[in-house]
Amino acid sequence: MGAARIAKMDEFYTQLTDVEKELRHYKPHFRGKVVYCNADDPRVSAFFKYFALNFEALGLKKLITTCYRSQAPDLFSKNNSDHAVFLEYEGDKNSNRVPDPDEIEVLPLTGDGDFRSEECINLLNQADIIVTNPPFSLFHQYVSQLIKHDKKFAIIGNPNATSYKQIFPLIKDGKLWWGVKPSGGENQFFETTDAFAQRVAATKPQGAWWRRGSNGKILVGMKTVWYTNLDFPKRHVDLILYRKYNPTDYPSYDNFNAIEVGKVSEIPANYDGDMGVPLTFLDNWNPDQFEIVGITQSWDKCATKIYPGQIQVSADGSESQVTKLNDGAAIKVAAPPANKTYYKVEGEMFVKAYARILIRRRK
Amino acid sequence: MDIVPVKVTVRDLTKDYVDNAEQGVAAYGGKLDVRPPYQREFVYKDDQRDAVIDTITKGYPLNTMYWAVRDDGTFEVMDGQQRTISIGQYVTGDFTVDGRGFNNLQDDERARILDYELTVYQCEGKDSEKLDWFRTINIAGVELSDQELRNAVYHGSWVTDAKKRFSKRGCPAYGIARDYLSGEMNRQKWLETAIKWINDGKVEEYMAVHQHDPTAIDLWNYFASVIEWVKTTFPTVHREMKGLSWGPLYSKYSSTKFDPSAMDADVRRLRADSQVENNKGIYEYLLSGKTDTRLLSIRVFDDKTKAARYQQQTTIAEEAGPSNCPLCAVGNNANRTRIYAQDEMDADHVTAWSKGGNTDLKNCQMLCVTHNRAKGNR
Repeated sequence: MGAARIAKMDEFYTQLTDVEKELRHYKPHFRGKVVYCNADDPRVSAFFKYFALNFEALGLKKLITTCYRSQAPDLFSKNNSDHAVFLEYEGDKNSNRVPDPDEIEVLPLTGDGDFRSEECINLLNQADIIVTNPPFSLFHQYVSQLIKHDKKFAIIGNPNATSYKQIFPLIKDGKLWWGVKPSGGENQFFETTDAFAQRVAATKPQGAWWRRGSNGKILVGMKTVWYTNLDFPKRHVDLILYRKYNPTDYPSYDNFNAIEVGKVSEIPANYDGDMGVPLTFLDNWNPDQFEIVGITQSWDKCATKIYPGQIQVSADGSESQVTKLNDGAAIKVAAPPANKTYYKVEGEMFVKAYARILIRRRK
Repeated sequence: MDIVPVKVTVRDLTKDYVDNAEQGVAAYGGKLDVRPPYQREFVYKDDQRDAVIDTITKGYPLNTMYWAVRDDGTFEVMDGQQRTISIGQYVTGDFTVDGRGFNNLQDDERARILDYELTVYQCEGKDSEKLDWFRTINIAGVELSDQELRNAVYHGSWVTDAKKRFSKRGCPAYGIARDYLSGEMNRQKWLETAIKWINDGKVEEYMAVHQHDPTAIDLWNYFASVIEWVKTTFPTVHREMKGLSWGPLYSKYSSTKFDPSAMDADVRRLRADSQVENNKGIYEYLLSGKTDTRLLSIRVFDDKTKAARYQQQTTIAEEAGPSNCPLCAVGNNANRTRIYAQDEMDADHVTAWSKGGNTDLKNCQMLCVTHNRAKGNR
């Protein structure tokens, strides 16, 4: 019950247009497959809608979706049950080319529809590909389950999840990657609970924070990326490299043998060692061009040095005792940098780079 | 030169529609280049895209589209790219309108869309004719930049490679030159600038010659040398360096030796000088040997200062006898005692700006127009 309640607090419903824009790049993967959208609510689920409407065009075998126990009447259910249910759709039977309520089978679940319950795992086992927007708070557990059961998937998550200690090793090992939608693009907008939407609209400016959908509802904006292990053509396009390495523009880290590359577009073409690049590198990662060797911040145990206590000097000159320098890639500086936080360790000065993915050229 | 209006059904238009993202979008049985590689991407908002489908569903007319006929008989969309992509995506089942996609429509509804006829003007002819024609229709509302038109007309391997290097945010040109070039890169403005620089402003001539080169590496190497030279000669980046004519400056001055640290110091000094009104001119002023102060638009005396100085000089001259132009007063001709009206005189720096003179009343003298011109900038 506790988990389901947490899931409820993650009520962010993906818009159909966002599902369409991403999944059009994966179409060939769905032919003959069973798709499962769990951790979801079919009454408002754009995922269920997308696959039901495109069932024949994609050549799906079956569509399964679970629905958490809900007090509200269910559009697809015959009775007003407060039990969790799961739905199955096996395509259009009456040749009207749209899914009708009586073509969708509604079956009861004994539990509350938690994705970790035995009955939901049974459904998962029937499926080939999982497409959904899992509760962000349970993201790494959700992904671990998919990996454990060796499933294909395309799911929405927070870009920060990339540095989770459970998620990053999977990215590094090529078991999952970022999808097509650029992480630096505009926010993705979600339908959410009225109370939350009202609160955002009342306190934040319209634009990146929220906007109105075509039905007039308030949609709340969030930075998201797709996490997937389905391949798509853009993953095999090389980044064009044109910069040459020099030690001034690309200083070396002090706690890992790599150079600092502040912009993805400025990765030097001729550097063979490890390089620290912003996380947005994953928008353009062609695994044939670069391999991923590590990550700063969470480090995945790869830092080569642990600093003793440090004094942090803020841009305004104020000093405090911290251990933060160990969280990131440290760059030694000869003089205090202007208008920037730096760290003093045993007479030496360092600045800390932002979160970096450590990569190495393959060719 | 032929301009042929043809009717193209949605069925024919969307035959073999493929969207390869960066690598471009093709349609019309593979014969139509909807969006060539590295061109501006699909920018329609959902409601604009939906409106195109709505228009077709209702059988209302869409505006005419324009296709260029290429040498090999294939076509490139000149106007109608966003509409063509909207139609292609819809028929391919990429998006739904009002809860239904193309795949959910009944046969008669599908047929209505597939049979819908678009009016397309196909234009065939010599490159120069096509360019001329496109420019003319461009005036009639098709919004393509000059260079986008040229890219279509001089289509080929060279253009494809050049666009990869010059026309997207994050492209190599942006990487090395973003502090030095202005203009909309994704509208091909940077590519245009680079070609203008390498070929003395004659863009089409250059493109015609190189149209079938496998790559644009020559242009890139040239461009990279120009930017490298700018970076070496003026080590510090300043705001006003963006958009200067670096190409022509490179042609003229790259063979001269300059001391970068001296140049750097000179730039800082001139930028800090309140009398220099045109910071953009500093760079050419320094490159050309610090003589042509016109490049700097040195501050001029304001009307109040000129009137005050004129009054002082004239009052003294009228009392003492000689001309109110101090140079005429020391001369030998008839003007020695002439009193000029104010509009016959100009203000002059007694000590030139280049020798440290200020633009204030103390350093202002009024000279007759002739003497002021003769004095020049010494």
